[in-house]
Amino acid sequence: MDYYDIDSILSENQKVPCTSTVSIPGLGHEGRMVPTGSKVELPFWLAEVLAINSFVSIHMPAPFSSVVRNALKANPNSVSIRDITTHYYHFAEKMLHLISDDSLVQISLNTLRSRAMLIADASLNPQGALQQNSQFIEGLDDFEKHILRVSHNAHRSLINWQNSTS
Amino acid sequence: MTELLADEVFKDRVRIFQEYLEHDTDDANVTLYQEAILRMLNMGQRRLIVNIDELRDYNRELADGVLLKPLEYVEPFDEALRNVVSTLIDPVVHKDLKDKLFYVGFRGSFGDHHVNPRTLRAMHLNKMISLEGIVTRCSFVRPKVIKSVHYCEATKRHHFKQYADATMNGGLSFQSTVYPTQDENGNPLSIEFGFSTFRDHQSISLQEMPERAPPGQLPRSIDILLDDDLVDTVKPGDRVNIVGQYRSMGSKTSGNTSATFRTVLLANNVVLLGNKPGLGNVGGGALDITDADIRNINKLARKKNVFELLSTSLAPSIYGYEYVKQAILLLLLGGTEKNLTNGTHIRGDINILMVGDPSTAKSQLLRFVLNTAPLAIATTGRGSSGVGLTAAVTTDKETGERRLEAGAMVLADRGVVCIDEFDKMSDIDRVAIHEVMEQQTVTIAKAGIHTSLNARCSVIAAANPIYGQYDIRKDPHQNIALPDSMLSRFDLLFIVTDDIDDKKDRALSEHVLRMHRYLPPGVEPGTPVRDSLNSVLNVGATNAAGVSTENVEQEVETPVWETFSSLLHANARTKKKELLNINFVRKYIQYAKSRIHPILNQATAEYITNIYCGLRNDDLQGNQRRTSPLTARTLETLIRLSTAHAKARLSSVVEVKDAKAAEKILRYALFREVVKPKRKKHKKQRLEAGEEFDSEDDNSDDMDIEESEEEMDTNMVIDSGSRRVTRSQNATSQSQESGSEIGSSIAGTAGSYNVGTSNTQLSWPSTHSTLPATSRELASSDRNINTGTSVASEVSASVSEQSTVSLPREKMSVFMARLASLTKSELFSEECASLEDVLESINNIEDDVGFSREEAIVALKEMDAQNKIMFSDNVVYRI
Repeated sequence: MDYYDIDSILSENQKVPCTSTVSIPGLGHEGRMVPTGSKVELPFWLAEVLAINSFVSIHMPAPFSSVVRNALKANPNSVSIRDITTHYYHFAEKMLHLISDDSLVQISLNTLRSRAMLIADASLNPQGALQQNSQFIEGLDDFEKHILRVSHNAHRSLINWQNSTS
Repeated sequence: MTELLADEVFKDRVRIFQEYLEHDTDDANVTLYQEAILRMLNMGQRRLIVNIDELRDYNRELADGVLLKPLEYVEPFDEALRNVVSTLIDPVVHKDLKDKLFYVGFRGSFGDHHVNPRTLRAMHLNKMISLEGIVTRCSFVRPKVIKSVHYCEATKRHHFKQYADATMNGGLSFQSTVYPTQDENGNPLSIEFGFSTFRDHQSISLQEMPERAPPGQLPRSIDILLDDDLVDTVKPGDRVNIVGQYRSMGSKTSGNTSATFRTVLLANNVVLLGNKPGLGNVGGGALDITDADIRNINKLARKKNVFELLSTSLAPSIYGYEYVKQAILLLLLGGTEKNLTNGTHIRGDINILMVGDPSTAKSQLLRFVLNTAPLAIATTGRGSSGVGLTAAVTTDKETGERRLEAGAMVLADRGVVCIDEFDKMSDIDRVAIHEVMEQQTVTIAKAGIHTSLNARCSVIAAANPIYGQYDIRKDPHQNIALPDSMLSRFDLLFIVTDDIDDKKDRALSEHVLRMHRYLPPGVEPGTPVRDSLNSVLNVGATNAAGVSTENVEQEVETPVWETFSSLLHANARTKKKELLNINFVRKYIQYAKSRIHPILNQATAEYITNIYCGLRNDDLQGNQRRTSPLTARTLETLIRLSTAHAKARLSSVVEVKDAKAAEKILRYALFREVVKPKRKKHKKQRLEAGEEFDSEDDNSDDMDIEESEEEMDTNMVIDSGSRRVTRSQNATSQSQESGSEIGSSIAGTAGSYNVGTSNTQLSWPSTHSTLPATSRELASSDRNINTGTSVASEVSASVSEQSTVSLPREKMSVFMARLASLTKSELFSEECASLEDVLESINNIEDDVGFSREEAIVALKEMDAQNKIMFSDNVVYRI
């Protein structure tokens, strides 16, 4: 992804719970020291570097906790991903660069696959036959919103082409 | 391919489920059901809660089957559980559970099967769903016959018949529910009740949570059937999450005119949520106090300022009201109640009434109590009737019997009732709660029902004064439209007034604006407030292993302190600016309330007696008025408040310092100053919290000499204590002889008042610096040494600051007195006089006291600073 991509920056800014393995001066509130073994929430870009150098050990952030995983397993379409995080897929991708977690890969893929169909449907009719789509669209994360926009534009272009006389 | 017989399929599923319940795994995150079943048996329960997420991981088909076709899957699951239980049950240890039925309940992620009463649709019929809502009504628990055994006299044979309505046996077998009276040959049968089996049965109404209902729509509700071990697990007002099968039951009216069906939810798992919105899964009545919490509580209780810490941590978003908050803390803790052998019940609950101007955060305080107390019920004056508060006789919908329905105060037994707009309540309704407030019972004798219900609740009420705005020129009684019989039942009556005071208004608005800028820790600016995600994603997650480890650790220990934020802590009055976490305060209160039962010692008893006698026998003088009548109930109040204060310290003995704190609060609530209506130019003069006191010295500044003279003529009486400081000062400035006399009278009363009037003392320096007078010195010298000396030293400090030539106090007052009489003489006929003239006339009065020019200038400047006169360019102006 592009270095200046806003979605990339935002997804790297998600908070990751970490436990410090050494005491880190200047990391705490107003430049205080973070002692060994304390729990801090760090943005991903910082946590990543610190974790690679094993200054901190990272834990699963809330969007990938077992609660959310189970909910996505139960029915990916009924979960409002936006309430969990605005950059679910990008964040998952970055996380998976750092750790290996097969089930997270599977869950994320299944979620996207399953939701993609509904997104395609919603792009044709944002209201939905039973007004159910508006609530679904509200729960899309930024990547899904992007898909929705692309799909919607494609569909409109198709109509324009069909109606064009030349 | 041949179709399997239904029984074959059933047996097959029983086998699969049994395999699931017995399967072994090394994964620490997966529940081992054999252990879980043993635990269930040891705890004497009959319901195994299965996590549907784990079932989904084990076999997706089973989980989908349970959710989508519960009719076909739940029954075999129950059967499988019973088979497994039969291998695990110990007939000796678990003899109570022998021959009992066992059930499975479900929890976990329900996906789109998680609905609320509004989004329930026909497509959810015969599916497993999970519902969230508030229980609004619970029916009686009634037995339902499962199996009746009959004996035939003629043939000497036993017959039995099993009954199943649509809620049983998967709803498939509709048998006639006719009760057999004869066997097939027409011989009469008699029932053997001892051999028949019955099962408990209850129906409740679940209403959508009001805060989740879409804008402008009323919450909807649904009927839920609870069977067997689930009955009586909920009570009205609980917020619950219920998992069950949504079923249609056939129309209730037997006619065929309409095709509508009655729908119910057959519950298989009930999860209690916190009964307060926004607090997550805390609440639900009692909180779980862990070992770590108890250690923290005991550690905190050893602090000297624990009472202040707790009271300032209450409602930090509300500015000021130290005393009201302290009183609320005592209310939440409660005193100790006594049940005497002769049947007399002495109440331990503390009742508080707040009367005051609109927009003084009275209702906010009520809301705070509502959200903090373990059990609290809110009502308003207009929205509740007498029977609604006590108890009503109603006709039961199902049986047609007359029965009692508990009102708000009965439901709030051992809790708190918050009544807003208390003054708007009609007299008849208000009289209904007289009994509750003192006797703490509700006695009903109507419609053939005579009974007495317990209603041991605290009452905290808020009311507006009779004219909307509190009129300080009138007595409290004329302002509060409540009879004495009612007022005496309130332990504490606070009058909260809305003062116009630049300093205070500024502080208040800063505080309010800080609160608007405050973000709780862990929340990013700009993110919308999220509903608790856990309960939506995972039903019943807290009590099981399905939660991530961070949450589990949080459950163990509630943090003691609120994470520091410059916005939140700016108002904390403790030295270190510390605030306690509200959940910790709740635990502290719960612990102190239930575990500590302090007793009075001799010294405290005597001290309380003295306070009571003092309060009763002190003549009310001057402008002093009591807000509520002083009756023997006041003595009880003192005992209750002291006991509650001892509880706050986790002390098992009520000590004198508790009584002193109680006295302080009581005196604050009891005495209000009233301004005499004859005052022309009155400013709002209120004795509120300490910071509002600044208005006091403006007031004394306004007082012109004319007036003080008038008061001198009318045989001025000094009221007790330092309340009417300004008057006594002016009076004494008139003449030395009377001054000393009055001073000693002040000292006499001040001795007994040194505790109760601490907030007045706080403000002494401000009053003093501008009004030096003899009486004050006399008073303060006789006053208890600590405060007296500190006040005096402060006074002299501020006086010397203002003038280089210091004037002796006596001289100053003499000067003021003489000038006062001069202002009425011909000298001031043109409203002003030159310094020389004034000096001459003052020294003219035959006396041994003379004033030099320098002394006169100092004195005049001093009076100018007090706005008594105006002095500039050596000309004295009368005001």
